[in-house]
Amino acid sequence: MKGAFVTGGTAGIGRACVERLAADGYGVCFTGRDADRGAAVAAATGATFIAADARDRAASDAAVERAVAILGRLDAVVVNAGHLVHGPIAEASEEVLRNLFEVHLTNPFRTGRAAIAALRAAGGGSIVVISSECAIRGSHRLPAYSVAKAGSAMLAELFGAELARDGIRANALCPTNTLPGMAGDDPATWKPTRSGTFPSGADIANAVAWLCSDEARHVSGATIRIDGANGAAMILPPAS
Amino acid sequence: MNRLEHRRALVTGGTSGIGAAAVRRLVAEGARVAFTGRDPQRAGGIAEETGATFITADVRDPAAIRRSVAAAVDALGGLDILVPNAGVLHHGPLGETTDAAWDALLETNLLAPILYVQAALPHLGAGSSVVLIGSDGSVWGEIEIAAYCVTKRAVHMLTRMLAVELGPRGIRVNAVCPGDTAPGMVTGVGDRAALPDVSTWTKPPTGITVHADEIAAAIAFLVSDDARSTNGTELLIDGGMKAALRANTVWAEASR
Repeated sequence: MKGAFVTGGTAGIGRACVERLAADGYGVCFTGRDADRGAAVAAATGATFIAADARDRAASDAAVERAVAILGRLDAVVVNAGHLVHGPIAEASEEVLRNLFEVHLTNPFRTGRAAIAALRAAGGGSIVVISSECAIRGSHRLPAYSVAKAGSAMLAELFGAELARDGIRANALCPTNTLPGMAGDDPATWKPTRSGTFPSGADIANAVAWLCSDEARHVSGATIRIDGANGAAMILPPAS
Repeated sequence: MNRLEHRRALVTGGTSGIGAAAVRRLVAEGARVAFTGRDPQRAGGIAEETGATFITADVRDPAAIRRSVAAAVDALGGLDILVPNAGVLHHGPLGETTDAAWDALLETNLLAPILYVQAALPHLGAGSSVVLIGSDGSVWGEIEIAAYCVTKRAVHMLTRMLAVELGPRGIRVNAVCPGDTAPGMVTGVGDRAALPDVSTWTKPPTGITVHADEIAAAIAFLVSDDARSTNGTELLIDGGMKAALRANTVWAEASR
């Protein structure tokens, strides 16, 4: 059985990825901060919950090791854990910035780095970094978050380039606001995509499942928007 | 040319490479300049030559960042131009990048420019300008300097986000994205590297290795009123090296 590791798998896109990869026949381990939510997802999917906060370097490194021990092999890594930071960069405290970069840059870097040996041992595999549409077209309401996500897309591109010879692929997925997701479940607070709808976690998990499959064997180092064409052209205010 | 007369500028990491070239150029265009660095010995010559004020500061120390901005404001009587140039380079693929190197890159190349902007903001009025230092590696990554490229891609987005955030206050924010530049970055994580042998560098399609003075000229343009409407842009200055998939082979083929 192939093995998959998902960070931040207790809710939103991460949970959808756990559900999908388990349904596709992967043995799945996933991390999260909330033990109750973790237990619920584990019970629903047969996946294994490993408590780890993405800000905790030792716990995050140990989680990769433990996943490899439980699964016996590692074929897919989905680096998903994240959080939103609203408000101007001018007003972001040093602590908020350090946390943001720790979760969205350092943790994906460390998780990828920690997984390389196991992915190599499996004869190759797939790393998917859940970035954001903000990595490509930043959001002025989420400016610091956009900065971090831009870096995470570059991280995926360079993992892809660096590990190509090992048969390890890495890609960045850049979703728009997803429901249910980090922003909560109230669509009234967020603008939908150009089409007028929001993607669901399952829509993002579809792309993750594809990127982890052999059908995507030539897709690597790619930064892929899943944003209902938001980033494809400038968004103009509605004609009055 | 006195485009920058009456302007007051702070350049971080101004003791060598692009930073030193920027100090010289801004002074030459009429600005009053303060610059930071870790080593007063390296700074002496430039301060003496240009009349610019040297401030000792390590940008990995947030207290030193705030202190150096205050010292610059004191010395210059205000601040109109900020060039948070100090940066470190690290060679190696991601798989071999140590925690220490990663943290140094993130703190120096990404966090420090943000903290500098925050510290400088109360002093920057309408007509002020910030120039961040990206890299051609922020536009298109390089495996050999992978973690560095991650930080510079983030700086790329930082440029845009600050341009949007500060635009309404009359403060413009842009970035220069230099290709391999000489004299350029000699600061590796941990300590200073030996000066690279530029003659071995791959030439861009122009056949000319980028000179630090050319980056300084672009910085001077971006902070001047000539660039009044240039905001949130990343100016790639790399001789065309990133203009095509294998542009790095073009010069060698053409000069065969």
